[in-house]
Amino acid sequence: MTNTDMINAERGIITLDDLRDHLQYAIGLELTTIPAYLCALYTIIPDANSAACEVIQSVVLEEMLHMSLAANVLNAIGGAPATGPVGDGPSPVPVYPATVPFIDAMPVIRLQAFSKAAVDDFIAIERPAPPEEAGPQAPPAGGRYGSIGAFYAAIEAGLRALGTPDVFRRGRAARAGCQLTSEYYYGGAGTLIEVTDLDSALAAVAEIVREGEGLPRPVLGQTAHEHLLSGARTPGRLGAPYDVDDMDRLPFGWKMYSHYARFKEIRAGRYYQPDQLVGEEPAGDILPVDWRAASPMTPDPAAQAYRGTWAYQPMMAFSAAYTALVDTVYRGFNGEPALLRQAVPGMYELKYQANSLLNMPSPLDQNQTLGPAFEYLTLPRRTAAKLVYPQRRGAESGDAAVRH
Amino acid sequence: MTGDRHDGDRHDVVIVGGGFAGAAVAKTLADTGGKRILVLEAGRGTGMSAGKYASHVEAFQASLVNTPNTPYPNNPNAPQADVLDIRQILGQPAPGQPPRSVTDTSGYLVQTGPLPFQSDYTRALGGTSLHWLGTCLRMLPNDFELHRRYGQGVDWPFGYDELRPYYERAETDIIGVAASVTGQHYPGIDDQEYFGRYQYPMHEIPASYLDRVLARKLDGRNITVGGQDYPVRMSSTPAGRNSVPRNGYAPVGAPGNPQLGERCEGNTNCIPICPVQAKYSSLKTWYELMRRHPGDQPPTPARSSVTIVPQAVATKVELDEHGRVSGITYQTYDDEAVAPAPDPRTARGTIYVLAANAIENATLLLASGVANSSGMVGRHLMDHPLILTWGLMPEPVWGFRGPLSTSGLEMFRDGPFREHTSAFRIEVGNEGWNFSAGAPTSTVRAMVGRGRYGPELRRALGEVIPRQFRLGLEMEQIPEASNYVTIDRAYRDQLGGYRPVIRYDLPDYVRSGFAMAKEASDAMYALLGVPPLDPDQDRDAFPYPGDYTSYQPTDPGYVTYGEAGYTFQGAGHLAGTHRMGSSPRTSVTDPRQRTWDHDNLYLVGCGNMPTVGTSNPSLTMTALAVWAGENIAADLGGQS
Repeated sequence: MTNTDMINAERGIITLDDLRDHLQYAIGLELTTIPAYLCALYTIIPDANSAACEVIQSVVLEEMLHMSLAANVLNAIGGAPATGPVGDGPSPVPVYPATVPFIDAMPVIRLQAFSKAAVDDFIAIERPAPPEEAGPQAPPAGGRYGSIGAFYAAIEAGLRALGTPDVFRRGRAARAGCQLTSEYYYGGAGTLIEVTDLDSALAAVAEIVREGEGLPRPVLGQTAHEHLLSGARTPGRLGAPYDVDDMDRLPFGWKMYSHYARFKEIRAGRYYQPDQLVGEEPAGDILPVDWRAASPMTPDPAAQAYRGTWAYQPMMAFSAAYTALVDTVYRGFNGEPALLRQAVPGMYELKYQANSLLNMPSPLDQNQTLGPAFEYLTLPRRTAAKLVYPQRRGAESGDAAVRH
Repeated sequence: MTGDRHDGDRHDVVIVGGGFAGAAVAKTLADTGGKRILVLEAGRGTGMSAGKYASHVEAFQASLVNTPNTPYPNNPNAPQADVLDIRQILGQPAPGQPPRSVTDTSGYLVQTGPLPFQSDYTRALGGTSLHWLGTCLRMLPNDFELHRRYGQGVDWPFGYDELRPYYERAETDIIGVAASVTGQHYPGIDDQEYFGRYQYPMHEIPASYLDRVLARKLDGRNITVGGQDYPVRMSSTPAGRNSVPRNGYAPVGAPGNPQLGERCEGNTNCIPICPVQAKYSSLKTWYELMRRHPGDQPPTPARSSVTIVPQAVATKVELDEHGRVSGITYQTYDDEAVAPAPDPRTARGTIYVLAANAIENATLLLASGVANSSGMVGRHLMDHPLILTWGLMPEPVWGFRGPLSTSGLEMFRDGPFREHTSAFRIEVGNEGWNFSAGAPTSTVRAMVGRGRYGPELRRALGEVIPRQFRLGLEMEQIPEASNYVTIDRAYRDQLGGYRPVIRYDLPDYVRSGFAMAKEASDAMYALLGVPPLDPDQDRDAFPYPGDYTSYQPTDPGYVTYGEAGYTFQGAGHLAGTHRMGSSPRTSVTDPRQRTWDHDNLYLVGCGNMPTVGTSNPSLTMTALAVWAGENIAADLGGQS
């Protein structure tokens, strides 16, 4: 993306349209890391590295939660989540390798196989901003926000400035039935918050931020225990809050940790001890990781590279399935929340196709494999359907697959 | 957990057994605060660790044979019944001689016959909740009054209305049940009377594709069975597995890995193991207790202290000179394969609870010579004997998706016919012919045996396997004193404990139930367009549609009734062996589930059930155990 004629940190959020545009990009921002994490996850040889798989899986689910929270806020102020271009700016759906043009110093997000380098990149992505750069004080650099924290802080300020009761009332009327409620979310920490007013909108933004992104406080100086306590809460039975407290010293309290801390544990091959600082290297129980148990995928997979070879069709078929999944999720954000159940088989379809690709030697290099390119396609529906199910006679059945 | 000596410590409650009932009692008590609770579990505690639970999943995946205990290998120091050990008990007669009963000692259960008792159980932390299906049906009100209404069996000392609040607690607080009130259909049951305004904590598991095909073809039709008309209606089956929550309920995931298993993922191998732990097992309750009521801290008024000791086999219930229980003697071990050097320890409490399942409770009581002034301990052993019918549908119905069973046909759970014939329920199985014929492995074998291979084999499998379906017809077994578990010095396990010695048979009441059930199944197969196979058709060519049900005289569970023969299996339900009642002469425990003979000994589990109705008994067992927990708390002077 070279076009930076889009949301602008220097301008910030002045109008309601600015606020909605920021939220469209927030949804896209939360989507951005998902393919990178899924790609690493898919390359792990089945049955190996179960701990790492579970960590990545729940992080992916939490990013989906963040997408949903951002969508709820956008819907609440009368916006409609969309994959199309945002005003004069580009589509919020990322193109890989992905940069985030409106945030300064974001590492490039790449599709790569599970490896030490990949996990290092994940740690860099999730690293909380150093305190002096975080928060609203971060100076915009060339129209860009200094950090993710600054980006969300601007959204928060925009909500406070523009989120009048009238705005929310009109939003509720215009976007009735679009809020996602908590029973749609599971598999990761955190809760889905239905957004109906300013308080719930701010709570939703705080929920996104709380899980380790852009924490505007000296996170690295927290002990793992404190960091654990600052993490999301998981409600106990019947909705009663179940706070982590002093008694929670069991090693499998990891679920409360930020994405940053969990990736550090995978990289180190050890869990944190409760009294360690998050900035330290984990030195607790062993977390077994077999770094060799990963497919040798060609990094930065792209269908275009295989044009003219047999590999082009399966590469495109994966991207068609990914496109269908993203479209399903966005339809779920636009008043069809029950469609999110379709996302579950959609995710399985992605996994099966990715596993197939990762077992196909590349025609360009026999020592590497094809891989999931996560390209969001804007093809006519029938063309995309033929890519997903080329053997099926008639586009009808393909339509059924691609419609969601 | 092992290695710490707990003998000598005095606890408020000592519980023997780490399955459904033990966990429900422990939680009910622990949540009242201030209690010291010791739990002795004979088997391993492996499943508590998220990583090691995976070893159970791997054991299952590595095995070609799928039985309920496949993931949970036998442990010679805490042996368990296994369906692979089931044999025909009646020996082949010499010409002109009647069949001779042959005691079968090949498995852990000593089967004296005449019929094999075919249910198994698991001895590990989690107990049989590790491999149960998850079906959570309540008993029907008439089930509690079988004698008064139908002149059969006995009545319970209380009715459905008294147990109902405990059902709700079992469903919401202990197991977590996914169901809808309106989707269940039972004969003579009005939702308002049966459920009141109750809502289950989670929405029902969606009906499988097979369920929907059957509903389309069967709902609203009538079948004639035994000269009576019955309207057919598919009924959604309540399940102890995670689904979309209602009213702020938070589904409980896998112990140690709470984000796993927050929703059922449709793995069809609920029996023998849920790979993601979306299905309830008592491991979840133990995990919760370990975190909220840790055993290494003294209790406070708000918090209890629960200590779980796995690999601790209870060997004797000790009595003092006043006839009160003074302790439970137990033996620990490290290596399962090796009998440990004898080192008996004694667990001491104010109140003692046996929760080791209906058979193990009975053998422990008999071995100890305790609680048996009625002579009823071990007697009235019951199961839900079931027959299977199976076939190939005209169209694919896509089995092997979704949990093992999501719907049933419940029209025969009650009715006037119970005066002479057992009630039954019909479980619709989502796992093709896995239970009935060992599919898909057996299907592959049969086709390969016919010379199919390569793409042709795949094509043929793709035609047959998606058309496989089966029904399980489960009879209510009535209590008979002549069905019992006992002990015999000649039959011991590696630790010197008594192996269960079983005498088991099925009366005509149950056999006529098989006949009625088969008639019902045949009528429904006709409506489904599934005709009987011609005798000269080649079964291994898998023509479809067709009814492939087949009962062979060489099957271990083969029984005759009139001119017909049926092969029955066990449902995995063991009950009745220390039943509740209103009189100490005819029951072992009083209506509060305390033994008549010893005022500080409680028994919990399905052994307390005087009759079993037609519902899978785990939910009823859990409800009763919650109630027992309350009673025990009251006896302790309760600090609720």
